[in-house]
Amino acid sequence: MRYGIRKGMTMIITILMVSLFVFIAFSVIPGDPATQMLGTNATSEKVNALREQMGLNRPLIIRYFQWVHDFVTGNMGVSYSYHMPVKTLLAEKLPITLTLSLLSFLMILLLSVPLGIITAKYYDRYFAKLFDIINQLFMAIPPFFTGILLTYLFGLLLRAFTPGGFVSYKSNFGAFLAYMFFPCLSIALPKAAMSMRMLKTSVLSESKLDYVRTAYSRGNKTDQVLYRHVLRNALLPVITFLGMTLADIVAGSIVIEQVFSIPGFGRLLISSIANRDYPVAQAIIAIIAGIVVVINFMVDILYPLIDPRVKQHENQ
Amino acid sequence: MENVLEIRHLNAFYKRNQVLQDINLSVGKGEIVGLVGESGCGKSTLAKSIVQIGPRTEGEIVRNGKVQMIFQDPYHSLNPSMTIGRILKEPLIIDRIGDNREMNERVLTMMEKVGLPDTLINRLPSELSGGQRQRVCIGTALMQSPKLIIADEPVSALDVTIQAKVLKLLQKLNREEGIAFLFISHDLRVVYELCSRILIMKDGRIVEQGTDRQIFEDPQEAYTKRLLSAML
Repeated sequence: MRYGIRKGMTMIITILMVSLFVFIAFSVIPGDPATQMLGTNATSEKVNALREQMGLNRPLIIRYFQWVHDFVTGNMGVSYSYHMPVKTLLAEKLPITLTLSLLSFLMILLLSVPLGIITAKYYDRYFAKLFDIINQLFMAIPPFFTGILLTYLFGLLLRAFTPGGFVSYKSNFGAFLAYMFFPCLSIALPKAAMSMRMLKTSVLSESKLDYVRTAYSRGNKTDQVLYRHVLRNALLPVITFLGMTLADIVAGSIVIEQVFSIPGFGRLLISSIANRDYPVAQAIIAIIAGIVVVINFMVDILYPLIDPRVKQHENQ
Repeated sequence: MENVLEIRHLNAFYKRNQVLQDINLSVGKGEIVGLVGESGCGKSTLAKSIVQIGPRTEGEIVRNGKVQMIFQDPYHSLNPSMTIGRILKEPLIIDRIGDNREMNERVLTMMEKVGLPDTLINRLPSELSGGQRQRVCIGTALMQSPKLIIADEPVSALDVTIQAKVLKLLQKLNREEGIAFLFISHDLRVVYELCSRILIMKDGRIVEQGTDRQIFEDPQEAYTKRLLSAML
């Protein structure tokens, strides 16, 4: 329990730090939202009056605490460029980005865990060696390029989907999921390749340990040794990696949203930074940071359940 | 006397290297047989062959009843993420003996038998001392009621005072339950104390065998004499 509270405190401090850095960053980069809104022809009096009205003339630290206070109480402000509450704007986009991330993560799990186990079990067969080569290839290709290749191959040549033909989850959920398949695959392939390789290496090195020999001598069959003894220990480093991966794909989905024209957080973030639409940009970054931190927190909490040695270590 | 283990003309190979050459040996019911030799002579390979985790073999190994093995290093012989109770339970799961309650009862009985306090049941191997871990290994080996236990240097990784206690436990099991032991060691002193019959191994062969008296008082082979003089 103490372990959980300590991890929770760390989480809150991290989110506060991230949002402060974002706040400072936006106040030092060139460009002024008031000028952006009124256009470059506006007089300096008019710009200044608007800045006063928007609260931009107050000291940075006051503005930060005001923002934290508003954010926590659920008020994310109004978008400068869309003239609508940031909350409404984001509520529409959040399901898209979350679906993209979670579906990608699911694909990573479904691809890498079975394949990792199989290639470790049959490591000296030809097909396992072939997988190693394919693996190497997928690991080397960045997701956005995979995305371009998949768009060309399945979108333009095979016509399995219409590039740019995003369907909102509100109008047709099935078609929405179908469109998300290839973007998710682009995100999943390199990560799945890494996690599969990691699991394979982990299973193989774990299999060399003395307790595995003992398990065989007790009369366990190969599969029993694998599933009862080896897998649990071999999964530990992979779970850590998958936790980091999940956090990584939430942030990394921004690029893939660009490639596949998906109107999620990523596209909104890019346009809001270009338009100096700070309330939107700040809220998106705070939410993404929050998701990443919460995921890490959950991994930390789950870890002792999977590896009892961690808890024992923490208690000492 | 009925034999629990009989090995005839056993050869073993690592790839093309022959590591065991024409091994013939038998272990009688309730007998403690010592197997002595320098490291690398093939003792452990022979032990692994008997429990079928060794290299490719030719020849005949006849086991009369279950054979279990205890290993040298109790620190790494136990799965680090399993509790002591779960480790002891495993042989029962493999053999599908009893429901969960019966298995737990047997685990507790076994812990008492090998001298482990029952408070250790939910602990992990890393929380136990070397002697306690070797007791867990012995208990696990006993779970399937074996007729023979192969003990491969079971005490050489332990402190001297702990060694004596673990050896006493093995002797007690032999006396009270009639379990036979093939006791592998490079330490002639321990073997002399424990075993009624001793085999001397060198370069993958058994070069001499006899009762403890014969080996110690009237060794035939030059190699055996050298081992004895090294010990004195």
